[in-house]
Amino acid sequence: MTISTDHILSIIDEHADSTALLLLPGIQYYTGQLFDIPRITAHARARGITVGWDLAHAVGNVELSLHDWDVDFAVWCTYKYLNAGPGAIAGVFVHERHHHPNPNPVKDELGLGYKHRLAGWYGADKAVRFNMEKEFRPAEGAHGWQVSNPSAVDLACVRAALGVFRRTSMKELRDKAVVLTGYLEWLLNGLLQESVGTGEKGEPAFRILTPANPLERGSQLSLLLRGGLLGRVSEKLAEGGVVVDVRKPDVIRVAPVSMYCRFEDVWGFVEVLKKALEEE
Amino acid sequence: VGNSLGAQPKGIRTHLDAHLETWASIGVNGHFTSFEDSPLAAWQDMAADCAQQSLDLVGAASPSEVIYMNTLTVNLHLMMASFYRPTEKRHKIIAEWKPFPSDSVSPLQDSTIVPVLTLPSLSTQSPPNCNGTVFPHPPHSSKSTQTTPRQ
Repeated sequence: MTISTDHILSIIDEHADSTALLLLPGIQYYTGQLFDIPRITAHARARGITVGWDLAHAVGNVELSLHDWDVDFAVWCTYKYLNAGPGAIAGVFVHERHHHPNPNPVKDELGLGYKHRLAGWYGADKAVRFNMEKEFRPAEGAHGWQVSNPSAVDLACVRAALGVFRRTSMKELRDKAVVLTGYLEWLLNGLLQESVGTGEKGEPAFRILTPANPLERGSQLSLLLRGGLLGRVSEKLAEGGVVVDVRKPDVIRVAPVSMYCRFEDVWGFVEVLKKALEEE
Repeated sequence: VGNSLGAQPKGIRTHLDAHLETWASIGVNGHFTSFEDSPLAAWQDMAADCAQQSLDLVGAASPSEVIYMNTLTVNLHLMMASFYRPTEKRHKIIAEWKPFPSDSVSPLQDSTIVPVLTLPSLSTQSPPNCNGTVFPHPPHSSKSTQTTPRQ
């Protein structure tokens, strides 16, 4: 179900000479698998491949060291684990080594030797932004990839959301998350051992798709329900006041977020799930 | 369900109020002015302020490595335009073969919005021993064998 790091590294080796870019999700949205970002990045970069990560499900969920891992670029949204609201303005990381102009510009770069980009006026250096100069001189680093001016309302929401993270640390959040999700897994395995909701032919009520190793997952566990159970179970969960994410046909994604979920909430979810499965 | 939409922080309301107050009281000067009692930077410095607040979050060495702008898929397009620079020899993209739509569509559309780019040949990685329930489509192995980029 999940993809091993060794398999990814072997794909990189196989296509190393003909590959320009590696682009993967830090956490796979369906299975909840957390990839070994530093190892995959190092392996690909050593073979001359540019490396980008989509961290939509990873940022605010697991610890990241994008600079030290030498990642070329990364993108993420801010409405999942960052809590900035639906459709909130998103984030980008561009590694420092791409910030400076090439002293010997080549054809593929901007006039001044900066990295090629879809340039827009707001990405120009703040000092010259309003000078209306013909030549594009980008702002420092990732800021030079801005195209037009951002909405202040959007940024106010992101700023508020980031402020909560500043009151703790990703290490503390992650430390709690490992235990919280481990507790969820332990309770769910308990249901399976008790044969709760087992089908007529002995098929278990669900299977956990997410890797059992805490280092290969974030907060989320994905449960693949036995065929036909999803409708009734999601109805019962809603009645029980539980909000989980449903992926048709048969998967529910449960993410006890360590910032605002308690162990009691996890226990309550499993109780509701147990009832729903027992009524089948 | 943080994996879909996170809960609303209490501070959202106060930050939005602060922004509305700035706008109502000093208008266009809000671009360059920040009040002592406001949690917000001047409008033109807000994105940089958010970058500064994100160092621990993503492990950036400096605020210049981070920017907030647009939304996810747009940013992916912008990054692809910069970082996917195919040559005749190196042109493949190693990507997930059944990703979330925001990831799968972008590389392909990139080739149409940036005419200098050639159609990418996606080197699609398929999970070994994949179960039909989760990954119902076979990997597009033909794409990974495509060797010559098309103009």
